[in-house]
Amino acid sequence: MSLSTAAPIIETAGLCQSYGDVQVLHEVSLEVSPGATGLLGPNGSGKSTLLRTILGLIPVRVGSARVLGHDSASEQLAIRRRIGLVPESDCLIPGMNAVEMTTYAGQLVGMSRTDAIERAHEVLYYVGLGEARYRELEGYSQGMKQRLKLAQALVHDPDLLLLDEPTNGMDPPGREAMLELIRDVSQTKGVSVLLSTHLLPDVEQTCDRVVVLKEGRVVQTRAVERELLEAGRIFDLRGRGDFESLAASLAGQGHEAEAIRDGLRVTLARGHEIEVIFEALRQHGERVQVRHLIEAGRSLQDTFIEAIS
Amino acid sequence: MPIYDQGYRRWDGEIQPAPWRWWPITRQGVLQFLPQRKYLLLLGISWVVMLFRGAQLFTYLRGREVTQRLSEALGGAISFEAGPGFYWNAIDKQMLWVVLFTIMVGADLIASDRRNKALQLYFSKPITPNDYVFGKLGVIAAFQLIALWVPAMLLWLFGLMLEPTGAYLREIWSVPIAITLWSAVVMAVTGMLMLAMSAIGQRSVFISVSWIIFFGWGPFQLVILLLREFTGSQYWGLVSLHESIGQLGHWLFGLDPPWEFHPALSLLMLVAAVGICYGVVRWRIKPVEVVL
Repeated sequence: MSLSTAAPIIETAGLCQSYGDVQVLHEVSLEVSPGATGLLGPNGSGKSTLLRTILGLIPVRVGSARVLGHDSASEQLAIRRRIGLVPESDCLIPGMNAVEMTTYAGQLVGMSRTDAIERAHEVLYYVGLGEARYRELEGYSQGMKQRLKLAQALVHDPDLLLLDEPTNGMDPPGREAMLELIRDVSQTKGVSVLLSTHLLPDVEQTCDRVVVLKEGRVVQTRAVERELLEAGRIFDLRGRGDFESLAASLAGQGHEAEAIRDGLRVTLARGHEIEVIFEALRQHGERVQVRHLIEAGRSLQDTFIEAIS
Repeated sequence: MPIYDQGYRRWDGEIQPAPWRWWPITRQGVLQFLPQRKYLLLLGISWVVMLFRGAQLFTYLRGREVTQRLSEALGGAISFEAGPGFYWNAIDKQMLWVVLFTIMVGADLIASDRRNKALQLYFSKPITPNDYVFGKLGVIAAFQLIALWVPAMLLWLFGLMLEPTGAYLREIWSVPIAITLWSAVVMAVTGMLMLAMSAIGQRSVFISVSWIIFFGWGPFQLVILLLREFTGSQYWGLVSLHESIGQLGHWLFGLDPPWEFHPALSLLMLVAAVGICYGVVRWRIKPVEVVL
């Protein structure tokens, strides 16, 4: 499944992964192009395994995976040089402060100490830890730890950023700030992002495209905006009268109308606006009395639930 | 007033070549411990012991007639000499510091990373498991270098300065080689054993006690000696890594080994131990922990 016409940064073909007898990924074939992509799926769907395979942490035995033009089976180090990972768990080294930790991360990639220190200060300011950068990590809140993990992943200026549940355990303002950072990195700084999460709003807010995984299989691969456009606008009408006739009239014009309690749910065909409903109501005159009209919308959540159910 | 951009900027600096990937791990580990007062103090004390050795050497070499007469007066019960045996004795006694620093520095090296799930941080970077292992081993080796190799080499230089004669040089020319080889063996064996224990255990106390048992140090030396007495077999010396290191040390310094079997057997035992420990470490350090 291809996500865009741009040259893909991640390509997998028939990728299978298993832990012992438990098969986690089943013939995953996918192409991810530059930009922000969400990797969405319920717990245990294989998201983290796919990320680890991309990084070369788990050897590829069946199928193939290429990341940024490098083979995941034989060029893991070249891949990791160009990737930044924000792991799900805390994984911080105690006894350090944020500057030391980020500098150390840069040196592990191969940056000189001078470059790593300079860059550590830059990215720590960028992620909002400028004032707290000399504090011991043990005193950091969960939100600060998540920001620090982002900083250590960005220190060597990767081409691709892999984020594994980056908003876990964060309070709403912290979560918003983190999502804003992710959006900024991908949209204005030219760093591609692969965001693995089970939180749909995170993907909706930050990603252009989404890959939905279920039980180790890719069940949907779509652009987030196109998803919403294709679904069209949805309205719930409630009241009294001949809703059957109204439904038939709207269906005759190419729209979907299904009966709900005391009314109708109308899904307008792509490109149509609410005036279509007003016109149909005018035609029905007093035969239909609408007391409640609200746009129900069709979020990614509907399609996600539909895809994994 | 200039406004400095504190936003994210792309970086196009140079990434350093691969062979030195282990170095930042060693460097970070050493800098984590070395500035602490207790480590500086202990390193200082370990050198004070060597200073006494230096004073001893001064007495031997500058007061040969006196010490010779004293030795004769004591009926040869105490021998005063400044040959390879003296240097071996000096470096062998430094084992106490080797044990101390290996335990203090090494016990938490891998255990802490495993506890804090930091392994995936390392392996999400272009670091191989070997880089990680050698980087951690380097931390232990650095402390042993300061407490063992450096003072022993300085002692040898001091001896040569006190007696700058061709005869004395001929007597002790091989000592620096022996010091270097023996120190390398000690670092490899004690360091890899500690990394293996640290990779298996979680708590420092458990790791330290396990290390002492497997190394055969302290009270376990007595156990080996008792086993030799009861069974009459010399080969019990092979069971203890500490005894094997001692056997090899005697041989390297050109002295009579304490055990009757050939030192090559000890070397074989030590190589096997290092191999096994390395295997254990590689088995335990996984970037991905899977719980099925």
